[in-house]
Amino acid sequence: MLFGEVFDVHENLALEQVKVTVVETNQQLSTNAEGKFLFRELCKGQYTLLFEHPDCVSVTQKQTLPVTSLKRYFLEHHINELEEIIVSETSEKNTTKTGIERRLTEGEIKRFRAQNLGDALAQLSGVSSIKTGNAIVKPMVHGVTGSRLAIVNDGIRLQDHEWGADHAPSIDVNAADQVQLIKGASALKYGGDVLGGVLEITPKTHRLKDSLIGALTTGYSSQGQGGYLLTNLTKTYTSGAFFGGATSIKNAGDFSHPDYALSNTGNREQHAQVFFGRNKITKKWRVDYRFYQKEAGILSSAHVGTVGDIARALESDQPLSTLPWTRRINNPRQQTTHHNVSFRYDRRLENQVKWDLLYTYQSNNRKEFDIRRGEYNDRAALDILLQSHDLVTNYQTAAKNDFQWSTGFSAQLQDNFSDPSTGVRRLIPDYLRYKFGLYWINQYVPSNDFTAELGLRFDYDYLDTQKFYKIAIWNDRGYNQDFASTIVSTGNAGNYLTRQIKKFANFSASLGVKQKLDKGTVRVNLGYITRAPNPAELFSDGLHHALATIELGDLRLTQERGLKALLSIEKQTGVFTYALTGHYSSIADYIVLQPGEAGFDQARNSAFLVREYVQLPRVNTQGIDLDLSYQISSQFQYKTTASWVSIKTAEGTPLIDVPPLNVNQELQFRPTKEKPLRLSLRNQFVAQQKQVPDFNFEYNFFEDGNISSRLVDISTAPKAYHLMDFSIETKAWDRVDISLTAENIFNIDYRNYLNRLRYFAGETGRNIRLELSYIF
Amino acid sequence: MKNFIQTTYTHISHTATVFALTLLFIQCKKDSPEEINEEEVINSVTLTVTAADGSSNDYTWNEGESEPTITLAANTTSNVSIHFYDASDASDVEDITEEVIEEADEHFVFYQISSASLSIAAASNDVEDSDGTSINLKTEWTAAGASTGTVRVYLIHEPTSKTGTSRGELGGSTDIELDFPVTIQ
Repeated sequence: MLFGEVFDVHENLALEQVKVTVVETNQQLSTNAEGKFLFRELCKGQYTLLFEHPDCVSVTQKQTLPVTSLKRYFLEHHINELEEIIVSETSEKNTTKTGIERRLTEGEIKRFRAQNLGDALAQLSGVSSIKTGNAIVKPMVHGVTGSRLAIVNDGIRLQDHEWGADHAPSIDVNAADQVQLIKGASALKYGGDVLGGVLEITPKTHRLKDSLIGALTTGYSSQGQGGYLLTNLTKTYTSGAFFGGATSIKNAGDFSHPDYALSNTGNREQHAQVFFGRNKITKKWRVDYRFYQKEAGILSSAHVGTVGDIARALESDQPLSTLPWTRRINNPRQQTTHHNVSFRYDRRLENQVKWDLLYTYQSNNRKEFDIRRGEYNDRAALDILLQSHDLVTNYQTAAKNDFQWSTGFSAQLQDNFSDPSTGVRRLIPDYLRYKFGLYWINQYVPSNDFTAELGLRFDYDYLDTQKFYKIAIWNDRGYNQDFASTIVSTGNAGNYLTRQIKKFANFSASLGVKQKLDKGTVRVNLGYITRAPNPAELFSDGLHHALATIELGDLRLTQERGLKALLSIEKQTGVFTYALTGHYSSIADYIVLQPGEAGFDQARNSAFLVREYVQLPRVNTQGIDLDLSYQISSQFQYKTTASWVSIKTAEGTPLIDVPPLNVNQELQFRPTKEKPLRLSLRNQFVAQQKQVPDFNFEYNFFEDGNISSRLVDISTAPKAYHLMDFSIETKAWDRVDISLTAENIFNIDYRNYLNRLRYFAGETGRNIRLELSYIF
Repeated sequence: MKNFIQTTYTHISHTATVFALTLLFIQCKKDSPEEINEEEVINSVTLTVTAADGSSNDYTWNEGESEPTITLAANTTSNVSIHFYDASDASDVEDITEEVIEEADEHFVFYQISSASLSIAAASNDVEDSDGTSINLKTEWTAAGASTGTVRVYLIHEPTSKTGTSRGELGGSTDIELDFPVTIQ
């Protein structure tokens, strides 16, 4: 006797009218409404069962009799439907149920593939970028960046010394299939320490068919006479197996301002990726290797040796060091190399039960070269290698009585090594870091219109650091009283070797609610954030040549804690769509880098500015993001995104580097639906940031044989500006796309408050870019 | 339910095994870091002033101190040579001037005078770069009438020009910028 039932594997529903055949005996029957079937007359032995259903893939299965209990068999839907399920499940799916999420469109990613990830991300409302020159672009969300922002690549946070303002993410736009932003701290899955949000990059889920798809893209930019070549190739099979790869090569020489050259601003970027894996309805796995390398020149006039150089640069309209145009990258420059190996396994069971396991190894080497004397000139002044192992697992249970919960665990081991052969004091010391995280998220979905989500997360962060302190600084900071026991030995060059063990237990929580209304959706999100100070904040100790600044960490820093609330009103259907998001946060013990008490390094005769990491008792942030889109007619579409943010201490002092109000507008024109011609005109307006802290200092200028002391205004933000871009895209031939883009059409001379080199030179002028893409 | 518990258990135990194995493979010990002795800082500058009568005086600035006052006799010409040192280790002072001479093309010493009746010009025995431009390591200071003022001295690294009357015209970055008070009597 064989008593069985047939179920649909993904819906977990009983399948009616499935034809079941015992091949050996040719007995045949159909399942009933409960998916059950019963063969009474079967003896002991091995049989082959054939299951057939019009919507499903036929399955044969061996069955040995006797069996004592009810056997359950699963059928999968036809390829087309499977594909629909697999693809729709992973692409265009929100990470959180109630979080405020925005996604870059495929067009937006394409448009920025010749540039930096930071440039592409800045298209999203609430995102701006903090730059060091034109090639080092770092995303900022709601005015915060670095460790207050997580960049998550396929489920694991990118570990690339992300704290430094001149450390751009080690990832190429071309490697980002899908990019989305989750505002605030609602994505507890990735960490409870993100005040800004999570930028999530996920690979495309490949289709279940025999296909070879790929593209070959090449382009030329007038700025820097830059060229680029991008390729990608993916082979897929109906079995779900796939493999592929991608490469990018970008190369540009010196950029230019409308009136002058921006010497030593060339950059090179290389990226390569290979991946393979298999997608099935119940199982998915993927192995990925990515390599990313970038070398970027730092504007030569920004290499300053003294505060006087900054003062003189500020008083001059033009950069003080301009050299002939070259493609060569000289010192100062930086070079980052990132390797990423990841393995991912996803299992899907009945009733929406899901389980995944991810492992990633990342190696991030960052080298900074300064203008030095003699043999040192070819030697990096900073050479740090950060290696991270991350292991993450997530589990989602079945929905039951409107409730569903998910949980996960993560472990990280990180090793940072600063190469002593630089001959320069380590900016970041050697350390080992262990991190463990555990989260639990419960969803409550009583109806189609209402969803509530409660999440809790606990993280443990253990940092074991070996650091040298100059004895004079050690005593000056009073560490000789509070940290005397951490001294391991006294070195020959006037340093203490100390061992600093820091342990932080962080708790975070998030509560989200989503209510669908007649015409839109309202989302409310509350997050409690705890962030442990990062190694840069605790231990920084060194000179940043680009800004003639000495940065000093503080061993006494503790965690910052606070609340962030977001409210979003959205309408995503119809010709007129919008999303308006307001956010507010209040953070205690907020860590900032600001001028030390003296302002200058007195020991070095005021040659350098001193910046210290300090904790402000309370910092409040508030802001508004707007996304708006209007389909004027079948030919015209208008889109705008705008963001405004304010970050101040409880006393009302504004913080530095807060993005000013900015509005991006775009008008798109498609003459006919049949022809793939598209024209678009874009405008970017950036207001002047009026809310700035006063970091001005006095300097003795030497003029006409007289020394006169004057205030050096490094605080006032540059004036507001408008930029216009235009692009035209069409098909040149059957499989060839062509696009022509003009950026900063009117060759506007402007400076950007969020460019750290704004004291030394203006931004780049007009750029014309021509791009050809062959798609197969 | 039983089924659910069983699958959950299987997954958790699998995961735990993977975690345990990974942690086993990872070595959790780190070598002691090597101490770095910075050798490129200029934290001491000496002006050796040789007066017309052959008497010689050293005026030295050390990091953390203010610059000493240079005294010159009125209506005389003195020979001044400048030296840059890394005196981080008092027992092993490095003379950075040698590196400046080796890389004469990438260096330039620039003087500015305020108030004092003084003029400064390169000495005939000064170090020249490959273009034949004196880089002002050895200079002649011609003092006129009694007065007081300041001499600002810059050591410029990678200047874009070696001709000009203001610091801004020369480009490059400033390695050293010191104001020496001067008394001519």
